[in-house]
Amino acid sequence: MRLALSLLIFFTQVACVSRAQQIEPLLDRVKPERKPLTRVPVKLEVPVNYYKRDLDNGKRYDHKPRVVVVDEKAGKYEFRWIGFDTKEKIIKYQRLGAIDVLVSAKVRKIENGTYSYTYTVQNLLTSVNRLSGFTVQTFASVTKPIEFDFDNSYIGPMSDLIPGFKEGKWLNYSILSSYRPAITPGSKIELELQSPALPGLVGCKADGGKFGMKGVGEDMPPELEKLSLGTKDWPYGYTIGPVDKLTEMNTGERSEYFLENLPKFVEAGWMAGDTPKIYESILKRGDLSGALEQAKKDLELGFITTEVFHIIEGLSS
Amino acid sequence: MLPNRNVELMVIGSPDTGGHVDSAHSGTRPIGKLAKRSGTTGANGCFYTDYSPSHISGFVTIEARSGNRVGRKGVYVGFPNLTQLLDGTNFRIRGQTTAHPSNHWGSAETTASFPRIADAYKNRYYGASPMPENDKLRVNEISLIAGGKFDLAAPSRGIPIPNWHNLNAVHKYHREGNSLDLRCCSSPGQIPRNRFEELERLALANGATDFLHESNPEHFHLSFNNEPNNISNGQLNPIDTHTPHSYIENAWEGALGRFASQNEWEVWHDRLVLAKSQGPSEFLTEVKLLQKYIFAEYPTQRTKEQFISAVFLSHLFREPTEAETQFWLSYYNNLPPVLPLDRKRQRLIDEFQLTQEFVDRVSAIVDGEVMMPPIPTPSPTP
Repeated sequence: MRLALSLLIFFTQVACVSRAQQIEPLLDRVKPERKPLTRVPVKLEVPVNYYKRDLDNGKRYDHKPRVVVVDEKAGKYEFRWIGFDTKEKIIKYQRLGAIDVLVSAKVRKIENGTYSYTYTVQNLLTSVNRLSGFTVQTFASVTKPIEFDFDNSYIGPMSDLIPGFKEGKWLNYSILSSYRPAITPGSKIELELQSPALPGLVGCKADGGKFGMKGVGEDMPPELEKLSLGTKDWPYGYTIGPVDKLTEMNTGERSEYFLENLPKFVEAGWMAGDTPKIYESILKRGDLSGALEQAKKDLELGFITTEVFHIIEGLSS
Repeated sequence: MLPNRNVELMVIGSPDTGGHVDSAHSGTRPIGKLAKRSGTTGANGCFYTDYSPSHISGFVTIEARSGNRVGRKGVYVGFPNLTQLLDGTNFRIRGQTTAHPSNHWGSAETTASFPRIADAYKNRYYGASPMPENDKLRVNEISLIAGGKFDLAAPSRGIPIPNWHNLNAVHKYHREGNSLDLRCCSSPGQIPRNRFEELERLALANGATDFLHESNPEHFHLSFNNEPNNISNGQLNPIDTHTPHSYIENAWEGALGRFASQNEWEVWHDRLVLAKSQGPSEFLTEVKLLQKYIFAEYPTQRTKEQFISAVFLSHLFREPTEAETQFWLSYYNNLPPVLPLDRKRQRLIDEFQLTQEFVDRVSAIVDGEVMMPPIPTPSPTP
């Protein structure tokens, strides 16, 4: 009797849903969880080999450069060496990648066919530093970052000469230490970007702590100076941002774009379990409107995040 | 060349090259050394030797004479491919001196990145309006045209004019074109303090990997090290790897605080190379003899501690730790008092040469030549 009832329910569902959705009850639907940006493992060490320092008459001395870890979790170190005056010199250094950040993004259409991208950048409780910056990749010729506190922030492009920022155009939102309330661990900030380009998959990075150092009256030895990482250890991950090329794509190409990036959506924690299979099934047929219907439902049920939804929404427009 | 012909070589420096004006320096321009200045051509008609450049960049000529024939070869010592930063729309270069009339040569990254910093700074604080001339950023120094030691004068430290070897030179570094000094705190080029942090972020976004707020005089020191530099791109010997050539140089410096003379160098280079070809124990014996020869000149008036320090520097190229100093002092003090000073010192050296660290240091010496960077295309005239 129970078997018969189950079968009846199953056939009723099959009769009422689309073909793609027919397989859904048999799939493992898991609610995804966004993943924090990936931290870059760092170990700062003075090279074993370094040039001894020159004194007059060609004589040299060993200035004994070394790195002292002050607080690994906070990314704080001391660069130490013996100065020309024979006294120990200490420069305090903080790398900017010692921060745990979770990024989520939403998109809404505003006037004149422009999209507003809102990034919620959350400094997680596992961090110890304040959030100092968020940087997002774009592939659009027109982007307009929205000022959030002119006097206590700096928004500008990242140089494409820096490794890790060469592809596309990266926009940096710097949150100065004077910004209030500071984005301390456990708090978050919303940052906005506008562009006429459709949302696609892009990279993002974040950083925390203070970049500048206080000198000690003589040049830091190069073997220590070169340990300073700049942007090299910023945590990185995915988000959505404006991508020009999507506008020019036809339906087939848009479907292909989505399918190509499915593994990255999973990697970012935007969908999980068998959910990608559903979209694979729909989009292999190029059915963007079917995918949008599925996405609306999945967003409501929590089976996909806003990032996936907005990409599909854009692709099906 | 023909076989079995005598050859004599010499290094000739080229004044006013490498960004240095010689007449505005005190002392003698270092030009590097040859491992051998004379010899006989081999069966193939060639005579081989090594040239070791100094820390000062510039052109040198190696001249070879055999009978009435003379040949010359130019050698460029320095960091190749530095490019010059000129005045930009939003910044000015300054700090040129008689001794170093052109001192804004940097790596491609440095010279491409800094103008972006200046432009971003201008856009932030002046918008579409032009920057007042006095507000434009001022770049003090980057590097000399071919990099190398930037022996800046330091009148406040008793260096009224640059000396090729000066101890108190301000810029011990700035050798590779990756470091840039930016005026911050006096006009023109003054940057209001409430802009400092923003300038840091702006510099970071434009490729700076270091941003140091320096004192005496107050300025910012920026570095651009986003790419591996070319200090050791597979052509140069690793910094702490020694050849007989460099071992001799370091041993002399460590013990006596001076370089080996050309004659000393040639004699001992030949001896070490020959011993090395004969085997490890022969080589170790020869290195010990070298040290003995060097320390024969060690001044008698030096203290025991100074002597121990010199033994470490000469043998291991490092200073002793406090514990090591105490250990060897104790050894020295326990030697029979009747021994004369030179015998005591030699006994200590003999004992020191039994240490594993010394034996390891000697066994790690490799065959090979001191390599030089490739000769670049002619550099633009400053």
